[in-house]
Amino acid sequence: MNSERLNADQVGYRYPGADESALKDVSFSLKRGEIIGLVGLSASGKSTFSRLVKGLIEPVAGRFYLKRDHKPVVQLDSRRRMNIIGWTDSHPERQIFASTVEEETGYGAANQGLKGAELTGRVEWALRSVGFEPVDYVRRDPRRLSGGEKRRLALAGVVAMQTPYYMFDEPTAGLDYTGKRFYLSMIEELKRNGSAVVWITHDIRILKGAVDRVWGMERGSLVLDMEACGLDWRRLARIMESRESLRKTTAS
Amino acid sequence: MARLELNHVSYNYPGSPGPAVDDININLETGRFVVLLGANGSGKSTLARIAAGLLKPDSGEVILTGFQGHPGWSGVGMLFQNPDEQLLKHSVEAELAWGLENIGLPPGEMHSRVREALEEYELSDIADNSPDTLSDGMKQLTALASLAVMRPAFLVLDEATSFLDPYWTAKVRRKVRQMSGTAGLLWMTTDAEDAVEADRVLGLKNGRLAAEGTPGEVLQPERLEALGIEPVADWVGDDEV
Repeated sequence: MNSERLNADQVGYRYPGADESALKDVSFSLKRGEIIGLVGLSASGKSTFSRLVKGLIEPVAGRFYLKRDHKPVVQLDSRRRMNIIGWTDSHPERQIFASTVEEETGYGAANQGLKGAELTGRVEWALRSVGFEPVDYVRRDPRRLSGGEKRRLALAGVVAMQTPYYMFDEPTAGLDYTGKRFYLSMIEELKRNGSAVVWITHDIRILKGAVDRVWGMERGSLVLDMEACGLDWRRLARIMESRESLRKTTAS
Repeated sequence: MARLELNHVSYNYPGSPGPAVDDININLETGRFVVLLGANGSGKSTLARIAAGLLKPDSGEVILTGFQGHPGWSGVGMLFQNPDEQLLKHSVEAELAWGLENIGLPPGEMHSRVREALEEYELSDIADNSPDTLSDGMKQLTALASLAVMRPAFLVLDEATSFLDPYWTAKVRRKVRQMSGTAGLLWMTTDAEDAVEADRVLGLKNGRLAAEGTPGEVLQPERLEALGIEPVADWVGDDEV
């Protein structure tokens, strides 16, 4: 069992020119092999959080680091985070650019140095993990795929890189029954392989039974961190629908 | 009463092996709320664009009759799956006013309609903000409000709640139901819960209509499964949420 954890210590972010911080004093400890569901209302800071953790934007306060048992702490600047965290945007079409599904899926893995049969095998594995039969998809033009298929393709391109940590922003939005089922199988496989997944979603219903912990974000702060097995899902759904504070989830 | 008819509509993307939409017939009247359920790639977005007049079908016809609104526009609005595709102004308020400006509505009436919609959609506090700075959910809401303010005879919604949180999802569903009092609504979705309050539910599979009936008829687990749609009860869970 890999004891490595990705930690954030009181990180914060403020958009240039903004009066208020988009993220404030955010701390977490993400264990390898763990699946986190990150929930929160629109504009609570979830997408900013994902970009910050991924390393696309720099924190104005705090730090990220890796911690393993009996090993020195490894500080993580944005470049290091970029390399160890796979990430998908909430709009997958923004990150799709190649002219074939095969090229799109293998682009990141090829940049990691994979080539030849190893790259082909990785691409086929990644495509199958999101429910695409390679022979039916590799030659297709990504721009001709439906919205849901693009979302699955973006996921395939990221998991093909086999990074130890993943951050998926609304990966199941607009996905149908089949797509959601493949996504759930995919993250289970990532977990078995020892990767950690932070899954940002509005959809409380799909998280139940699929995640180990639930984090809740509210006004730029992480206000909820609970084991999924101890969570009152009905209460959490009611709280989100009525826009009450997520802090009430844990109130007795 | 206005009527929007799609008669034997088909569309084939250049280079595709088969039609994305194949011989579809839909009749929609103002005051009716129709939900079209379909899996990813079933042809929902293509059909939405055809219904909204943004894509010309290869064969068949789209006929709009009885629209009494401003002659400067068709009376059919469309909410895209991705709100970034339709938000283009520098502020939320300007976004809501843009369509009205384009049909030449008198400034007093335009201002009044925009203020009313900002209030109704709880956007007043961010009226001066650029849509670019909003979260996905707030962008989607801004796009919906900018369509509602036009008072369309028909509104085509393509995955209207994909990016919304539970609060706004519930709110948008209520607003859509309210809008069906004056407009005809055609809502494309993968989520069977969006169809619970519809007047009529259609099922699309591989570009063809594969189901039609009341919510009680079409939202049966076995019929949804045949369409590749998650049954409602399965999502809700047997004891929770």
